[in-house]
Amino acid sequence: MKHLLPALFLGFILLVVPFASEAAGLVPCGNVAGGEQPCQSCDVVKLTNNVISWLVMILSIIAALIIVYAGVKLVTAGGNTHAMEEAKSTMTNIIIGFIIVLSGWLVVDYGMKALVNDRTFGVWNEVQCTQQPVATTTAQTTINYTPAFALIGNVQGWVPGSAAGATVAACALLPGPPGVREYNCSPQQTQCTNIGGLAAISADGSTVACSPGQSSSGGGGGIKPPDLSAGGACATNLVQPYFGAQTGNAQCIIRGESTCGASMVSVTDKMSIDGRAFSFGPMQINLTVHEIIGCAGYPPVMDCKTAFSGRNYSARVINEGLYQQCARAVQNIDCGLKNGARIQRRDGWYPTWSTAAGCGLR
Amino acid sequence: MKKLFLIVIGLLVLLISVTLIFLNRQTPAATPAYQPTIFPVSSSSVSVNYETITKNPNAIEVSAGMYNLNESQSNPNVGYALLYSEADDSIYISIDKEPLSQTREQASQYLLGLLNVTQEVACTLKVYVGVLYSVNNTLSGQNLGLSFCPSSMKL
Repeated sequence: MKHLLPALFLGFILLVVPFASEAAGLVPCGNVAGGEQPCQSCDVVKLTNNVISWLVMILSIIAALIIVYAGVKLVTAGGNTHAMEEAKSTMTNIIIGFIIVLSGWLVVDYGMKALVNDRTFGVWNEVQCTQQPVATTTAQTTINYTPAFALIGNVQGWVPGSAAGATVAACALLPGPPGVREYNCSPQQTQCTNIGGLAAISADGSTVACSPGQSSSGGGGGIKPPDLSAGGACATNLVQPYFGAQTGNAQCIIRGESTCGASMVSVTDKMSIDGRAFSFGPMQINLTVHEIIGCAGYPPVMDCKTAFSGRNYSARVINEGLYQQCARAVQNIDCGLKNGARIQRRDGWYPTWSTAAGCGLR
Repeated sequence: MKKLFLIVIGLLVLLISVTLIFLNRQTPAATPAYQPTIFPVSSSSVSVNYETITKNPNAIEVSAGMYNLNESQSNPNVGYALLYSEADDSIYISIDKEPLSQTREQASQYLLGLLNVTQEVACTLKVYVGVLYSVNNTLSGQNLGLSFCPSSMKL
Protein backbone atom coordinates (compact mmCIF):
# COMPACT_ATOMS: atom_id res chain seq x y z
CA MET A 1 0.00 0.00 0.00
CA LYS A 2 2.85 2.33 0.85
CA HIS A 3 4.38 2.05 -2.62
CA LEU A 4 1.16 1.49 -4.51
CA LEU A 5 -0.15 5.04 -4.21
CA PRO A 6 3.04 6.81 -5.41
CA ALA A 7 3.19 4.32 -8.28
CA LEU A 8 -0.41 5.14 -9.21
CA PHE A 9 0.32 8.87 -9.09
CA LEU A 10 3.37 8.46 -11.27
CA GLY A 11 1.39 6.39 -13.75
CA PHE A 12 -1.34 9.01 -13.85
CA ILE A 13 1.16 11.81 -14.49
CA LEU A 14 2.77 9.83 -17.30
CA LEU A 15 -0.67 9.37 -18.81
CA VAL A 16 -1.72 13.01 -18.57
CA VAL A 17 1.53 14.78 -19.49
CA PRO A 18 1.60 13.72 -23.17
CA PHE A 19 -1.98 14.97 -23.63
CA ALA A 20 -1.13 18.20 -21.89
CA SER A 21 2.04 18.81 -23.90
CA GLU A 22 0.23 18.07 -27.14
CA ALA A 23 -2.48 20.55 -26.25
CA ALA A 24 0.07 23.14 -25.27
CA GLY A 25 1.58 23.68 -28.76
CA LEU A 26 4.71 24.99 -27.13
CA VAL A 27 6.69 25.98 -30.23
CA PRO A 28 4.62 28.54 -32.15
CA CYS A 29 6.60 28.50 -35.41
CA GLY A 30 9.02 26.69 -37.66
CA ASN A 31 6.79 24.00 -39.14
CA VAL A 32 6.63 25.68 -42.55
CA ALA A 33 5.24 22.54 -44.20
CA GLY A 34 2.40 22.62 -41.67
CA GLY A 35 1.54 26.20 -42.56
CA GLU A 36 3.47 27.89 -39.76
CA GLN A 37 5.76 30.87 -40.26
CA PRO A 38 9.56 30.63 -39.97
CA CYS A 39 10.78 31.36 -36.44
CA GLN A 40 11.80 34.88 -35.48
CA SER A 41 13.57 36.08 -32.38
CA CYS A 42 10.30 37.17 -30.77
CA ASP A 43 9.12 33.57 -30.95
CA VAL A 44 11.71 32.76 -28.27
CA VAL A 45 9.71 34.98 -25.90
CA LYS A 46 6.49 33.31 -27.00
CA LEU A 47 8.07 29.90 -26.41
CA THR A 48 9.21 30.93 -22.92
CA ASN A 49 5.72 32.17 -22.16
CA ASN A 50 4.19 28.92 -23.43
CA VAL A 51 6.62 26.87 -21.33
CA ILE A 52 5.67 28.87 -18.21
CA SER A 53 1.95 28.37 -18.86
CA TRP A 54 2.55 24.68 -19.51
CA LEU A 55 4.53 24.27 -16.30
CA VAL A 56 1.80 25.98 -14.27
CA MET A 57 -0.71 23.55 -15.75
CA ILE A 58 1.47 20.55 -14.94
CA LEU A 59 2.05 21.88 -11.44
CA SER A 60 -1.72 22.14 -10.98
CA ILE A 61 -2.06 18.45 -11.76
CA ILE A 62 0.81 17.50 -9.48
CA ALA A 63 -0.61 19.63 -6.67
CA ALA A 64 -4.00 18.00 -7.04
CA LEU A 65 -2.47 14.53 -6.97
CA ILE A 66 -0.41 15.29 -3.87
CA ILE A 67 -3.48 16.66 -2.11
CA VAL A 68 -5.34 13.45 -2.89
CA TYR A 69 -2.35 11.42 -1.75
CA ALA A 70 -2.21 13.33 1.52
CA GLY A 71 -5.94 12.88 1.98
CA VAL A 72 -5.70 9.13 1.51
CA LYS A 73 -2.74 9.01 3.87
CA LEU A 74 -4.79 10.89 6.45
CA VAL A 75 -7.64 8.40 6.16
CA THR A 76 -5.39 5.37 6.38
CA ALA A 77 -3.38 6.79 9.26
CA GLY A 78 -5.64 5.14 11.83
CA GLY A 79 -4.59 6.32 15.25
CA ASN A 80 -1.03 7.06 14.22
CA THR A 81 -0.63 10.71 15.25
CA HIS A 82 2.72 11.06 13.51
CA ALA A 83 1.31 9.88 10.16
CA MET A 84 -1.68 12.22 10.54
CA GLU A 85 0.53 15.20 11.25
CA GLU A 86 2.73 14.30 8.31
CA ALA A 87 -0.27 14.12 5.97
CA LYS A 88 -1.65 17.45 7.22
CA SER A 89 1.74 19.04 6.83
CA THR A 90 2.04 17.73 3.25
CA MET A 91 -1.37 19.11 2.39
CA THR A 92 -0.69 22.52 3.92
CA ASN A 93 2.67 22.83 2.21
CA ILE A 94 1.38 21.91 -1.25
CA ILE A 95 -1.53 24.37 -0.95
CA ILE A 96 0.79 27.17 0.13
CA GLY A 97 3.25 26.29 -2.61
CA PHE A 98 0.55 26.23 -5.24
CA ILE A 99 -0.80 29.61 -4.10
CA ILE A 100 2.72 31.03 -4.40
CA VAL A 101 3.01 29.66 -7.95
CA LEU A 102 -0.28 31.21 -9.00
CA SER A 103 0.29 34.51 -7.24
CA GLY A 104 3.71 34.82 -8.92
CA TRP A 105 2.06 35.91 -12.14
CA LEU A 106 0.03 38.58 -10.32
CA VAL A 107 3.05 39.80 -8.37
CA VAL A 108 5.06 40.29 -11.58
CA ASP A 109 2.10 41.94 -13.34
CA TYR A 110 1.40 44.43 -10.51
CA GLY A 111 5.11 45.02 -9.98
CA MET A 112 5.73 45.85 -13.62
CA LYS A 113 2.66 48.07 -13.84
CA ALA A 114 3.75 49.94 -10.72
CA LEU A 115 7.22 50.48 -12.19
CA VAL A 116 6.05 51.49 -15.67
CA ASN A 117 3.17 53.63 -14.33
CA ASP A 118 1.26 53.37 -17.61
CA ARG A 119 -2.43 52.53 -17.71
CA THR A 120 -2.15 51.27 -21.28
CA PHE A 121 0.50 48.71 -20.37
CA GLY A 122 -0.93 45.25 -20.97
CA VAL A 123 -0.37 42.06 -19.01
CA TRP A 124 3.32 41.31 -18.69
CA ASN A 125 3.25 38.02 -20.56
CA GLU A 126 1.40 39.41 -23.60
CA VAL A 127 4.01 39.23 -26.37
CA GLN A 128 3.80 41.99 -28.98
CA CYS A 129 5.82 40.96 -32.02
CA THR A 130 6.90 43.83 -34.20
CA GLN A 131 8.09 43.46 -37.76
CA GLN A 132 11.49 41.92 -38.00
CA PRO A 133 13.81 41.58 -40.96
CA VAL A 134 12.75 38.73 -43.17
CA ALA A 135 15.31 35.99 -43.74
CA THR A 136 17.04 36.52 -47.05
CA THR A 137 17.52 32.83 -47.76
CA THR A 138 15.30 31.88 -50.65
CA ALA A 139 13.65 28.53 -50.24
CA GLN A 140 12.64 27.60 -53.76
CA THR A 141 9.32 25.85 -53.97
CA THR A 142 9.42 22.60 -55.86
CA ILE A 143 6.45 21.87 -58.04
CA ASN A 144 5.98 19.22 -60.67
CA TYR A 145 4.51 20.42 -63.93
CA THR A 146 3.04 18.96 -67.07
CA PRO A 147 5.11 19.09 -70.29
CA ALA A 148 3.04 22.07 -71.49
CA PHE A 149 4.36 24.02 -68.57
CA ALA A 150 7.89 23.53 -69.75
CA LEU A 151 7.15 26.39 -72.12
CA ILE A 152 7.30 28.75 -69.22
CA GLY A 153 10.92 27.90 -68.85
CA ASN A 154 11.54 29.72 -72.12
CA VAL A 155 10.21 32.96 -70.71
CA GLN A 156 12.93 35.16 -69.31
CA GLY A 157 13.34 34.83 -65.58
CA TRP A 158 11.90 31.33 -65.20
CA VAL A 159 14.39 28.67 -64.24
CA PRO A 160 14.17 25.05 -63.26
CA GLY A 161 13.94 24.57 -59.53
CA SER A 162 16.24 22.52 -57.36
CA ALA A 163 14.41 19.34 -58.32
CA ALA A 164 13.51 18.07 -61.76
CA GLY A 165 10.34 19.64 -63.11
CA ALA A 166 10.34 22.71 -60.88
CA THR A 167 9.68 26.13 -62.47
CA VAL A 168 10.53 29.11 -60.35
CA ALA A 169 11.05 32.83 -60.96
CA ALA A 170 12.56 35.44 -58.68
CA CYS A 171 10.55 38.58 -57.92
CA ALA A 172 11.99 42.10 -58.11
CA LEU A 173 13.11 43.57 -54.81
CA LEU A 174 11.41 46.91 -54.24
CA PRO A 175 13.17 49.86 -52.62
CA GLY A 176 12.16 50.17 -48.99
CA PRO A 177 13.32 51.04 -45.51
CA PRO A 178 16.27 49.17 -43.96
CA GLY A 179 15.31 45.73 -42.75
CA VAL A 180 12.08 45.56 -44.78
CA ARG A 181 12.16 43.38 -47.87
CA GLU A 182 9.23 43.78 -50.20
CA TYR A 183 8.97 42.18 -53.61
CA ASN A 184 6.96 42.79 -56.74
CA CYS A 185 5.82 39.45 -58.12
CA SER A 186 3.06 40.77 -60.41
CA PRO A 187 4.87 40.22 -63.77
CA GLN A 188 5.74 36.63 -62.89
CA GLN A 189 2.21 35.95 -61.65
CA THR A 190 0.74 37.40 -64.85
CA GLN A 191 3.05 35.30 -67.03
CA CYS A 192 2.01 32.21 -65.13
CA THR A 193 -1.73 32.88 -65.19
CA ASN A 194 -1.60 33.87 -68.87
CA ILE A 195 -0.80 30.26 -69.73
CA GLY A 196 -3.46 28.98 -67.35
CA GLY A 197 -1.09 28.21 -64.52
CA LEU A 198 -1.40 28.68 -60.81
CA ALA A 199 1.14 31.11 -59.40
CA ALA A 200 2.30 30.56 -55.85
CA ILE A 201 4.37 33.08 -53.96
CA SER A 202 6.96 31.65 -51.58
CA ALA A 203 6.63 32.23 -47.84
CA ASP A 204 9.11 35.11 -47.86
CA GLY A 205 7.55 36.65 -50.98
CA SER A 206 10.74 36.54 -53.04
CA THR A 207 9.88 33.87 -55.62
CA VAL A 208 6.93 32.65 -57.63
CA ALA A 209 6.39 29.03 -58.52
CA CYS A 210 4.12 28.18 -61.41
CA SER A 211 2.12 24.99 -61.58
CA PRO A 212 -0.89 23.66 -63.47
CA GLY A 213 -3.04 23.84 -60.38
CA GLN A 214 -1.10 22.37 -57.52
CA SER A 215 -0.81 24.46 -54.41
CA SER A 216 2.36 25.72 -52.87
CA SER A 217 3.56 27.50 -49.79
CA GLY A 218 2.08 30.72 -48.56
CA GLY A 219 1.08 29.85 -45.06
CA GLY A 220 -2.03 28.92 -43.19
CA GLY A 221 -3.90 25.78 -44.06
CA GLY A 222 -5.26 24.66 -47.40
CA ILE A 223 -5.80 26.48 -50.63
CA LYS A 224 -9.28 27.55 -51.70
CA PRO A 225 -9.84 27.98 -55.43
CA PRO A 226 -10.30 31.58 -56.58
CA ASP A 227 -13.91 32.73 -56.62
CA LEU A 228 -14.22 34.13 -60.14
CA SER A 229 -17.74 35.45 -59.52
CA ALA A 230 -16.67 37.64 -56.61
CA GLY A 231 -16.84 41.41 -57.00
CA GLY A 232 -16.02 44.51 -54.98
CA ALA A 233 -12.77 44.22 -53.05
CA CYS A 234 -13.05 40.42 -53.42
CA ALA A 235 -12.74 40.58 -57.22
CA THR A 236 -10.16 38.09 -58.44
CA ASN A 237 -8.45 40.63 -60.70
CA LEU A 238 -7.84 42.86 -57.65
CA VAL A 239 -6.84 40.15 -55.19
CA GLN A 240 -4.78 37.82 -57.39
CA PRO A 241 -1.85 40.20 -58.12
CA TYR A 242 -1.14 40.45 -54.41
CA PHE A 243 -2.06 36.98 -53.17
CA GLY A 244 -1.26 34.65 -56.06
CA ALA A 245 -2.11 31.08 -55.10
CA GLN A 246 -3.67 32.35 -51.88
CA THR A 247 -6.33 34.32 -53.82
CA GLY A 248 -9.23 32.06 -52.85
CA ASN A 249 -8.20 32.18 -49.21
CA ALA A 250 -7.83 35.96 -49.33
CA GLN A 251 -11.28 36.35 -50.90
CA CYS A 252 -12.80 34.39 -48.04
CA ILE A 253 -10.99 36.58 -45.50
CA ILE A 254 -12.00 39.85 -47.21
CA ARG A 255 -15.62 38.69 -47.38
CA GLY A 256 -15.70 37.96 -43.65
CA GLU A 257 -13.67 41.01 -42.59
CA SER A 258 -15.43 43.72 -44.61
CA THR A 259 -18.07 42.09 -46.85
CA CYS A 260 -15.82 42.65 -49.87
CA GLY A 261 -14.96 46.22 -48.92
CA ALA A 262 -18.45 47.43 -47.99
CA SER A 263 -17.53 47.89 -44.32
CA MET A 264 -14.18 49.66 -44.33
CA VAL A 265 -14.22 50.91 -40.74
CA SER A 266 -14.22 48.24 -38.06
CA VAL A 267 -17.32 48.02 -35.92
CA THR A 268 -15.64 45.83 -33.31
CA ASP A 269 -11.98 46.91 -33.17
CA LYS A 270 -12.51 50.15 -31.29
CA MET A 271 -10.34 51.95 -28.77
CA SER A 272 -11.96 51.83 -25.35
CA ILE A 273 -10.86 55.37 -24.54
CA ASP A 274 -12.80 57.15 -27.31
CA GLY A 275 -14.69 54.46 -29.25
CA ARG A 276 -12.85 55.15 -32.50
CA ALA A 277 -11.84 52.28 -34.77
CA PHE A 278 -8.25 51.05 -34.98
CA SER A 279 -8.76 48.54 -37.82
CA PHE A 280 -9.60 49.63 -41.34
CA GLY A 281 -9.83 48.62 -44.95
CA PRO A 282 -10.97 45.57 -46.91
CA MET A 283 -8.82 43.34 -44.68
CA GLN A 284 -9.38 45.34 -41.49
CA ILE A 285 -5.70 45.92 -40.83
CA ASN A 286 -4.97 46.72 -37.19
CA LEU A 287 -3.11 50.05 -37.26
CA THR A 288 -1.96 49.79 -33.64
CA VAL A 289 0.37 46.92 -34.55
CA HIS A 290 1.10 47.30 -38.27
CA GLU A 291 2.84 49.71 -40.58
CA ILE A 292 1.42 50.69 -43.96
CA ILE A 293 3.87 50.56 -46.84
CA GLY A 294 3.89 51.51 -50.51
CA CYS A 295 0.49 53.18 -50.96
CA ALA A 296 0.09 55.61 -53.84
CA GLY A 297 -0.35 59.20 -52.72
CA TYR A 298 1.05 58.57 -49.24
CA PRO A 299 4.55 58.42 -47.73
CA PRO A 300 6.37 55.21 -48.76
CA VAL A 301 6.41 53.94 -45.18
CA MET A 302 3.90 54.94 -42.53
CA ASP A 303 4.69 53.51 -39.12
CA CYS A 304 1.08 53.65 -37.99
CA LYS A 305 1.91 51.99 -34.66
CA THR A 306 3.58 55.21 -33.57
CA ALA A 307 0.29 57.08 -33.91
CA PHE A 308 -0.84 55.21 -30.79
CA SER A 309 0.13 54.80 -27.21
CA GLY A 310 -0.67 51.24 -26.22
CA ARG A 311 -2.06 48.55 -28.48
CA ASN A 312 -5.41 47.19 -29.58
CA TYR A 313 -8.41 48.10 -27.41
CA SER A 314 -6.28 49.93 -24.85
CA ALA A 315 -4.65 52.07 -27.54
CA ARG A 316 -4.89 55.87 -27.47
CA VAL A 317 -4.17 58.16 -30.42
CA ILE A 318 -1.15 60.37 -29.77
CA ASN A 319 -0.55 61.48 -33.35
CA GLU A 320 -3.90 62.44 -34.84
CA GLY A 321 -2.48 63.35 -38.25
CA LEU A 322 -0.74 60.02 -38.73
CA TYR A 323 -3.80 58.12 -37.46
CA GLN A 324 -6.04 59.85 -40.01
CA GLN A 325 -3.49 59.36 -42.78
CA CYS A 326 -3.09 55.63 -42.07
CA ALA A 327 -6.86 55.12 -41.80
CA ARG A 328 -7.49 56.86 -45.13
CA ALA A 329 -4.67 55.07 -46.92
CA VAL A 330 -5.65 51.56 -45.93
CA GLN A 331 -9.28 52.13 -46.92
CA ASN A 332 -8.07 52.30 -50.48
CA ILE A 333 -8.63 48.79 -51.81
CA ASP A 334 -5.23 48.46 -53.54
CA CYS A 335 -3.39 49.76 -50.48
CA GLY A 336 -5.41 47.54 -48.13
CA LEU A 337 -4.84 44.41 -50.22
CA LYS A 338 -1.16 45.14 -50.81
CA ASN A 339 -0.45 45.53 -47.12
CA GLY A 340 -2.73 42.64 -46.21
CA ALA A 341 -0.70 40.39 -48.52
CA ARG A 342 2.56 41.59 -47.00
CA ILE A 343 1.31 40.93 -43.47
CA GLN A 344 -0.08 37.53 -44.50
CA ARG A 345 3.25 36.48 -45.98
CA ARG A 346 5.00 37.49 -42.80
CA ASP A 347 2.54 36.39 -40.10
CA GLY A 348 0.22 33.89 -41.81
CA TRP A 349 -3.57 33.99 -41.75
CA TYR A 350 -4.25 33.02 -38.16
CA PRO A 351 -4.42 34.61 -35.63
CA THR A 352 -3.78 37.86 -37.54
CA TRP A 353 -7.28 37.54 -38.98
CA SER A 354 -9.86 35.87 -36.72
CA THR A 355 -11.95 35.26 -39.85
CA ALA A 356 -9.30 32.74 -40.87
CA ALA A 357 -10.86 30.30 -38.39
CA GLY A 358 -14.12 30.43 -40.32
CA CYS A 359 -12.28 30.05 -43.62
CA GLY A 360 -10.58 26.86 -42.44
CA LEU A 361 -7.17 28.55 -42.35
CA ARG A 362 -6.43 28.10 -38.69
CA MET B 1 -15.62 13.73 9.29
CA LYS B 2 -12.67 16.09 8.88
CA LYS B 3 -10.75 13.44 6.95
CA LEU B 4 -13.67 12.83 4.66
CA PHE B 5 -13.93 16.55 4.04
CA LEU B 6 -10.25 16.74 3.07
CA ILE B 7 -10.59 13.80 0.70
CA VAL B 8 -13.63 15.36 -0.97
CA ILE B 9 -11.72 18.65 -1.39
CA GLY B 10 -8.75 16.79 -2.85
CA LEU B 11 -10.89 14.89 -5.32
CA LEU B 12 -12.68 18.09 -6.27
CA VAL B 13 -9.38 19.85 -7.03
CA LEU B 14 -8.27 16.87 -9.10
CA LEU B 15 -11.52 16.84 -11.03
CA ILE B 16 -11.32 20.57 -11.73
CA SER B 17 -7.68 20.31 -12.86
CA VAL B 18 -8.37 17.48 -15.29
CA THR B 19 -11.47 19.27 -16.60
CA LEU B 20 -9.46 22.44 -17.16
CA ILE B 21 -6.84 20.55 -19.15
CA PHE B 22 -9.39 19.24 -21.57
CA LEU B 23 -11.26 22.54 -21.75
CA ASN B 24 -8.00 24.31 -22.56
CA ARG B 25 -7.45 22.11 -25.56
CA GLN B 26 -8.25 24.25 -28.53
CA THR B 27 -11.67 23.62 -29.98
CA PRO B 28 -12.24 24.61 -33.60
CA ALA B 29 -14.33 27.74 -34.08
CA ALA B 30 -17.74 27.46 -35.59
CA THR B 31 -17.21 27.23 -39.31
CA PRO B 32 -19.68 29.26 -41.30
CA ALA B 33 -21.11 27.68 -44.39
CA TYR B 34 -19.19 29.68 -46.99
CA GLN B 35 -20.86 29.45 -50.32
CA PRO B 36 -18.53 28.41 -53.15
CA THR B 37 -20.07 31.01 -55.41
CA ILE B 38 -20.79 34.13 -53.49
CA PHE B 39 -22.64 36.12 -56.10
CA PRO B 40 -25.68 34.11 -57.17
CA VAL B 41 -27.59 37.15 -58.35
CA SER B 42 -29.60 37.79 -61.41
CA SER B 43 -28.54 40.33 -63.98
CA SER B 44 -30.87 43.14 -64.77
CA SER B 45 -31.79 44.92 -67.96
CA VAL B 46 -33.61 47.59 -65.98
CA SER B 47 -32.03 51.01 -66.20
CA VAL B 48 -31.01 52.22 -62.78
CA ASN B 49 -29.40 55.54 -62.04
CA TYR B 50 -26.33 54.69 -59.97
CA GLU B 51 -25.20 58.31 -59.92
CA THR B 52 -27.12 58.64 -56.68
CA ILE B 53 -24.23 56.60 -55.28
CA THR B 54 -21.29 57.82 -57.35
CA LYS B 55 -22.26 61.49 -56.95
CA ASN B 56 -23.29 61.12 -53.31
CA PRO B 57 -21.31 63.61 -51.21
CA ASN B 58 -20.73 60.94 -48.57
CA ALA B 59 -19.38 58.39 -51.07
CA ILE B 60 -15.66 57.67 -51.01
CA GLU B 61 -13.98 56.28 -54.12
CA VAL B 62 -11.95 53.47 -52.56
CA SER B 63 -10.59 52.15 -55.86
CA ALA B 64 -11.05 52.97 -59.52
CA GLY B 65 -14.81 52.79 -60.09
CA MET B 66 -15.64 51.58 -56.59
CA TYR B 67 -17.57 53.73 -54.16
CA ASN B 68 -18.04 53.18 -50.46
CA LEU B 69 -21.02 54.63 -48.61
CA ASN B 70 -20.77 54.28 -44.85
CA GLU B 71 -23.63 56.14 -43.25
CA SER B 72 -22.75 54.73 -39.84
CA GLN B 73 -19.76 57.11 -39.74
CA SER B 74 -22.12 60.05 -39.35
CA ASN B 75 -25.00 58.22 -37.68
CA PRO B 76 -24.14 55.66 -34.98
CA ASN B 77 -27.66 54.19 -35.21
CA VAL B 78 -26.95 52.95 -38.73
CA GLY B 79 -25.58 49.41 -38.77
CA TYR B 80 -24.81 48.86 -42.43
CA ALA B 81 -22.42 50.04 -45.13
CA LEU B 82 -22.37 49.74 -48.89
CA LEU B 83 -19.92 49.32 -51.76
CA TYR B 84 -20.83 49.93 -55.38
CA SER B 85 -18.70 48.71 -58.26
CA GLU B 86 -19.12 50.44 -61.61
CA ALA B 87 -17.46 47.59 -63.49
CA ASP B 88 -20.46 45.29 -63.17
CA ASP B 89 -22.97 47.51 -61.35
CA SER B 90 -22.75 45.25 -58.33
CA ILE B 91 -23.60 46.39 -54.83
CA TYR B 92 -22.22 44.87 -51.64
CA ILE B 93 -24.08 45.62 -48.44
CA SER B 94 -22.48 44.80 -45.11
CA ILE B 95 -24.67 44.14 -42.09
CA ASP B 96 -22.60 45.38 -39.18
CA LYS B 97 -25.02 45.16 -36.27
CA GLU B 98 -27.40 42.78 -34.56
CA PRO B 99 -30.32 42.14 -34.74
CA LEU B 100 -29.60 41.07 -38.30
CA SER B 101 -33.19 40.97 -39.55
CA GLN B 102 -33.85 44.51 -38.38
CA THR B 103 -30.58 45.89 -39.76
CA ARG B 104 -31.09 44.08 -43.07
CA GLU B 105 -34.58 45.57 -43.31
CA GLN B 106 -33.16 49.06 -42.72
CA ALA B 107 -30.37 48.51 -45.25
CA SER B 108 -32.82 47.18 -47.86
CA GLN B 109 -35.10 50.19 -47.44
CA TYR B 110 -32.07 52.48 -47.59
CA LEU B 111 -31.08 50.97 -50.95
CA LEU B 112 -34.58 51.44 -52.33
CA GLY B 113 -34.49 55.11 -51.37
CA LEU B 114 -30.94 55.57 -52.60
CA LEU B 115 -31.58 54.16 -56.07
CA ASN B 116 -35.24 55.24 -56.18
CA VAL B 117 -36.39 51.85 -57.44
CA THR B 118 -39.22 49.48 -56.55
CA GLN B 119 -38.73 46.28 -54.59
CA GLU B 120 -39.25 44.22 -57.75
CA VAL B 121 -36.50 46.09 -59.58
CA ALA B 122 -34.16 45.95 -56.59
CA CYS B 123 -34.51 42.17 -56.51
CA THR B 124 -33.17 41.94 -60.07
CA LEU B 125 -30.01 43.92 -59.32
CA LYS B 126 -26.62 42.42 -58.49
CA VAL B 127 -26.84 42.88 -54.76
CA TYR B 128 -24.88 40.89 -52.19
CA VAL B 129 -25.92 41.29 -48.57
CA GLY B 130 -23.37 39.85 -46.17
CA VAL B 131 -22.66 39.93 -42.48
CA LEU B 132 -19.26 40.46 -40.90
CA TYR B 133 -17.59 37.46 -39.27
CA SER B 134 -17.15 39.50 -36.09
CA VAL B 135 -20.89 40.17 -35.97
CA ASN B 136 -22.19 36.69 -36.78
CA ASN B 137 -19.67 33.97 -37.55
CA THR B 138 -22.33 31.46 -38.54
CA LEU B 139 -24.03 33.50 -41.26
CA SER B 140 -20.87 35.26 -42.43
CA GLY B 141 -19.88 34.33 -45.97
CA GLN B 142 -23.43 33.82 -47.17
CA ASN B 143 -25.60 36.07 -49.29
CA LEU B 144 -28.53 36.99 -47.06
CA GLY B 145 -30.26 38.88 -49.88
CA LEU B 146 -32.46 41.94 -49.55
CA SER B 147 -35.18 41.59 -46.93
CA PHE B 148 -38.09 41.80 -49.36
CA CYS B 149 -36.78 39.51 -52.13
CA PRO B 150 -38.44 36.08 -52.38
CA SER B 151 -35.12 34.23 -52.74
CA SER B 152 -33.54 35.88 -49.71
CA MET B 153 -32.51 34.02 -46.61
CA LYS B 154 -35.06 33.99 -43.81
CA LEU B 155 -33.63 35.47 -40.62
